[in-house]
Amino acid sequence: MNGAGLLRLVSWELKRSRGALATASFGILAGTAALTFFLALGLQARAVLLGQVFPLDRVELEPAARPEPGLLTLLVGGGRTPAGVRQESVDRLAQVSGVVAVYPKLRFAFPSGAFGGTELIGREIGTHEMLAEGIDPALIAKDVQGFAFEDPLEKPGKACTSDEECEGGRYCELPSGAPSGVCSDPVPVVVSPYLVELFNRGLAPAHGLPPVGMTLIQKAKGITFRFQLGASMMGRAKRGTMRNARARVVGISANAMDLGATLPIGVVRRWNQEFYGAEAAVSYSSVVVRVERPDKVAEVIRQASEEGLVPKDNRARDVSVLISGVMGLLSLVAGVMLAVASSSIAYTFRVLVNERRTEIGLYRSLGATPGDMAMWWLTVAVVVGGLGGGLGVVVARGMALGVDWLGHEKLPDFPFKPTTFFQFPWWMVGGAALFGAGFALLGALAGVRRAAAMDPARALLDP
Amino acid sequence: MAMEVLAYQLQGLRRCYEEGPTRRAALDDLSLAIPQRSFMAVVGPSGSGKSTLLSVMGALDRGYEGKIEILGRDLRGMNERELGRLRNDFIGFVFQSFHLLPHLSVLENVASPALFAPSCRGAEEAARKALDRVGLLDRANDRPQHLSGGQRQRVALARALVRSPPILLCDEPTGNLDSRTGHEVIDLLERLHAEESRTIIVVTHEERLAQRARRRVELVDGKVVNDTGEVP
Ligand SMILES: Nc1ncnc2c1ncn2[C@@H]1O[C@H](COP(=O)(O)OP(=O)(O)O)[C@@H](O)[C@H]1O
Ligand SMILES: [Mg+2]
Repeated sequence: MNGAGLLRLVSWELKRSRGALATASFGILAGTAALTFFLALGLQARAVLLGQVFPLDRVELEPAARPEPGLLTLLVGGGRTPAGVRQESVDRLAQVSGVVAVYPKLRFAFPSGAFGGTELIGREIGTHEMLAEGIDPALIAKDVQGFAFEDPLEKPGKACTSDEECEGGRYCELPSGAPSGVCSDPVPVVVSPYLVELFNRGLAPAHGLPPVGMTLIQKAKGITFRFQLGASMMGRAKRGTMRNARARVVGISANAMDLGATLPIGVVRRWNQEFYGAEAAVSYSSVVVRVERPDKVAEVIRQASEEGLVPKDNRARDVSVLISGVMGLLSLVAGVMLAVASSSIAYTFRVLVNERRTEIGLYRSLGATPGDMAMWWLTVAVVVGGLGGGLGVVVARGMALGVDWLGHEKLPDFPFKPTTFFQFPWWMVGGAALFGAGFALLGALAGVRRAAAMDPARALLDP
Repeated sequence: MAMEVLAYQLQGLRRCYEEGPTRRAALDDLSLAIPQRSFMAVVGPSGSGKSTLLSVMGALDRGYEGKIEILGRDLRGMNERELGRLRNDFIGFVFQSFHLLPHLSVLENVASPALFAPSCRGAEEAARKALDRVGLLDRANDRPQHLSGGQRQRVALARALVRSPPILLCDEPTGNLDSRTGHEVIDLLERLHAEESRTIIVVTHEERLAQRARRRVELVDGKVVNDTGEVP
């Protein structure tokens, strides 16, 4: 059979049997649409939740709990020895396979507050309870542009006893009890995208504040505020006397702590020493381990337990398992739809091939081979499956656009609200269409074999 | 002068069908030599194996034992593709119930063997010529269901002739026709034989048609019981 011949046989068949074939392929369309829709939703849910809200490629480890300090002490920060992760543990974790980077962190071991915003909104707002921690500046460097993220005392200014003696936005860094200090640039601070998101979508609209972003940070030459060190509403530090330090938000970094300020670790060491004591300055309060792939996290956690460290937060894993579970279930539903569709295709092809019995016999007498007849019906199945699968993907895309429009128009703004709830990468779209078409082929296979095996001599005999 | 190759050489042909636990021979040790340009009628009672013989000779049925050569080509050892080519190039079939495709025009029906040829090129032109030969060119664009029985069988004949095969196999070509239209078809077959000298083998139980043939082979129970007439 020549190509033109195949084309004609197939197009005649599509024309003659369009009703039956359309009905049969509707199931393929619906199944593929459902599969594509669920997968696209799942991919985006995973991307937003695990990429932005609970990053899965990293795990924060801290010393296994001694008696739980409770929320109050946690907020106050005073009652707990914050140190716990030794440098040796950090080094050993860095050796675990699949580990990309290890960031030790050092939390404030004393109560503090933060106040600022005058230059942005004309009044001072703030919190009497501020969580903060220090991190290796190298891990933040790429997220900060136009500013140095380092302990400002690496480039100290002249000696001073009060802020008025310092110029150019500097303040007098004067530790408790010391006779004199040195002029210092504001302490650089980075915040997490999570915090920015919470502020922009939650706090800012509620209080009529402008949203924060990199452009604003650049334009405002950093947002300055004042740390109140050594005291909060909850209490005072073990040592030292309450004082202020000037700070400046210089960037947004995924390596920053979720809810609080992240500083160069050297600054936190100095202040912990000042307000808590030497032991709060030698080791780290926690360590963040970033891995190549999410599946490497398990090995890191196993290794960490030997160091006496446990994950601080299992949300990422829980969310991942939840998303996988829900997606698996929805895909199963789509799979069942496709299986049902496949059996309806099987029935249709069986009936059609039977109806074409004498026609197949005639074609054979005119020179067709069994392979030609198989090719004819296989091509019909490919067209039907391809159209069903392709249209299914288009329908899924349309439904997604509808849902996105509804989400945009009808849902209130909430933190991490994405511009779209779906992801349609080409491999997924192509894969789903092929998968749907595959079910059509699978269903048609018995009919195709029947067409090939039809005995022409018998089919042509008169009844 | 070298002997011309035979249109058909059948030797010890046997075709059995399972009938419950027993095997029944529809063709039983049948041998025939059919020279080219024969006009041969195959007669015999119903169930004597005439259609079975035609299927085997038409390379549509591979379940036989024995030997068949068509124009010197041994069918044993040919694969489906080669058999298909052979049917397409060498054999034209005409069936009792026409087997025209209702969704195609008369012209498309006649051109349909080209679908299975190496190329469709020139198919329409050939189809017009073949239709002209059976006197139905003016009905080229009609649907076959709008034609009379005799006209339909002439369309089927045109389809069998369109690729100018050297062999024409007809199974009861007048079986579904009344005597007047049957006559038209018989006349046509005779003219085709006279003018174009192709090998024509007609299965029939119509004496009128059988008498027009130059040779008459009678089958009973799958065996040749009578072979008379001219062997050209
Ligand atoms: N496909 C088949 N399966 C079983 N038996 C068959 C088949 N085709 C033909 N037969 C049997 O073979 C014998 C010859 O049939 P056939 O060639 O059609 O006879 P005729 O054409 O002379 O009437 C009959 O008995 C018929 O029942
Ligand atoms: Mg018969």
